[in-house]
Amino acid sequence: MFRAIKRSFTEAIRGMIKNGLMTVTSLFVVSACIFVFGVFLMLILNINFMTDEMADSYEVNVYIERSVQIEDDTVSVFINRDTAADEETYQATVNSIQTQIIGVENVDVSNIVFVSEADVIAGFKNSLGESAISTYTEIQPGFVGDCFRIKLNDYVKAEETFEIIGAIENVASVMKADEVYQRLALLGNVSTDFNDTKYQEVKEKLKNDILAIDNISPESLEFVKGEDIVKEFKKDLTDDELKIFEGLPDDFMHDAYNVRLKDLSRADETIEQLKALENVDTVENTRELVEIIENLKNSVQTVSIWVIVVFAIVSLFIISNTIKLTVHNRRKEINIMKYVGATDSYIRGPFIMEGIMVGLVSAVLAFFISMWSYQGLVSAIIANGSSMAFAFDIMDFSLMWKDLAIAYVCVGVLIGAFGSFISVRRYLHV
Amino acid sequence: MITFENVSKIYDNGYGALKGVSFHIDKGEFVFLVGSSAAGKSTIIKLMMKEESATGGNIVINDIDVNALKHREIPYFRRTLGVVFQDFRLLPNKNVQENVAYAMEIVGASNKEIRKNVPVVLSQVGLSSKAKMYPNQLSGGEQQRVAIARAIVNNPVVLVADEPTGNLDPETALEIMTIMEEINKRGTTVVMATHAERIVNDMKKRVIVVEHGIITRDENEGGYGYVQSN
Ligand SMILES: Nc1ncnc2c1ncn2[C@@H]1O[C@H](COP(=O)(O)OP(=O)(O)OP(=O)(O)O)[C@@H](O)[C@H]1O
Ligand SMILES: [Mg+2]
Repeated sequence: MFRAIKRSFTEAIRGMIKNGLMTVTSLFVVSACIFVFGVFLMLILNINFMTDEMADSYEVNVYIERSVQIEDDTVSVFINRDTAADEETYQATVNSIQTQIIGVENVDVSNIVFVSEADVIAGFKNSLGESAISTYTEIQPGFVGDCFRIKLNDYVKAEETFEIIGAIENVASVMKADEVYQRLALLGNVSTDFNDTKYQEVKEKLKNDILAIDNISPESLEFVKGEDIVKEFKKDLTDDELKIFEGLPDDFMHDAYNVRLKDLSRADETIEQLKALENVDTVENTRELVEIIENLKNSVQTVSIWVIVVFAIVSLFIISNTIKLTVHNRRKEINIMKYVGATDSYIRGPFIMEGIMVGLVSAVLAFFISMWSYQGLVSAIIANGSSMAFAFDIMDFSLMWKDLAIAYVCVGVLIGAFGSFISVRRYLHV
Repeated sequence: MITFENVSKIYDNGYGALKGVSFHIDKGEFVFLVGSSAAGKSTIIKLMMKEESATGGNIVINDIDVNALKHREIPYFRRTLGVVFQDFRLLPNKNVQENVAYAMEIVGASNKEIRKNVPVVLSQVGLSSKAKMYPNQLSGGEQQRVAIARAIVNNPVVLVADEPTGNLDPETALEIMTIMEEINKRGTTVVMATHAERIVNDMKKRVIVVEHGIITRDENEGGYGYVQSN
């Protein structure tokens, strides 16, 4: 075995020296081919590097719906109750009010519900969060009164409609849902700030909902206050640009949860899931940028494959021609070997070895050419590219030289072995 | 040992070089193949070596069905044959000893065996003193002796020679024939195609005469002259 390799090796060296010019030519052509292959490889490595960095910084911002109370668009029409009047009279009053409400333009006739005082209070109690309920004191009956809960066809004309309804006899007051809440909160010794209490719960629930999505990396979840987002944003702006924000409250941005994904390729699906969650205002992400990079990656890979195929064929051709020359030079010797009973593999050995060595030496040459040109390019970019809009880092050569070297050696050896195999097959008939 | 049974050979260009050749050669025989130029002698040799394949008929050598040999079996089959050609076919960049050793290396002999066997065969052909010389420093007869040494170094069962004396003067040719005869005496079957009338007549061996691709005569202790008279 060892002797066979040693023999192949010395014979191969002999072949290379004998072919002189042809060997040198093929060394240059093949290393040029490997170099071109390397350029694309380095491009791919860089793009992969970028996408990885990208993936690391890819973040989804889930903005939280803030105006929770707006969702309740009912209007409550409270009824005056004369404590002296009997039940029958009161019922007549209620009926008369109902008839008159139905007659008001802009009232959604299909949505008129009578709610008793007890139910109003019970409903309020139910809506309270844990923190609110702890301070709640029972509202005494008679302070609130029964009401009709109605809806409007057009909320733009709400004020006008309120006035008309308010003018109806025995109507105590007309209130929007949050006004009702404030009044009840006052009566029940609960914080009047509807948002705060309810919002905490909404926030908490949303957090749990987000974490329930399997593609969300749980440890990445981070809560950011709207005003912090604004502050952060304003930091990078010039005074001129800042003027745009004059008059806006500091917290005009909603609070948000920032999350990262486990699997970027499922981003679309996950974002849809996030959007579908309750109390989510908007979902923002840098998906577009990622897509651009992914597309770039795909097209570079496609082009690379073709370029690599073409140059591999060129290399194969040139190597097989070099070997053909050796085969030709040693025709007689090969025949003698055949007469004496040498096996095919014994005869092929030196030629394959010669091909491999041409490939290997070319790979080494190409590696150094690649190293010098890559480092040259990188330092050139750094030198005059300080203002360049490079959003991404260029990969340092030290990060990729191993991959490159392995690829070059493999490609060189494979092309060399295969190239000489082809010509040995074709011109040797062994 | 060697059996040709109704063997025919039509070359790729359609030329029929052999048209139904049959003969049998026993182990240890010494056989001359004679016949005029283009008769088909070399074709028979090539078929024996499986350098060419027969178009029809059967060839059995050393119990091996030569026609049925697979490509990868051919090298191993050839190791049972020793071949010698008119043009010696030595490697010019190897000296005498290396040329002989080369044949042993190819079949995977150990260095020890090579060191032992090479001097033995070189002395058999009378070239011990020229072991370190290169082919271009040798006379034709000496070169042919190297070729014979190479052919027999792996102890073949059959020695096949195609006009081994064709390039040599009559004196030198006789020397070569003496060596061939000695090899034959040690038990190796020898098949030799030749035009050397005097040698054939003097040696009184079996003679197979080929003309136009068929065997016209096969005679023990034959002579070359019969060909001419027919
Ligand atoms: N490879 C080939 N292709 C086609 N025809 C061939 C081939 N080899 C030999 N022939 C033909 O076959 C015939 C027999 O040739 P062969 O070499 O066997 O003759 P020979 O008896 O050895 O002649 P010589 O005594 O001159 O060596 C010749 O006519 C030759 O032209
Ligand atoms: Mg001939």
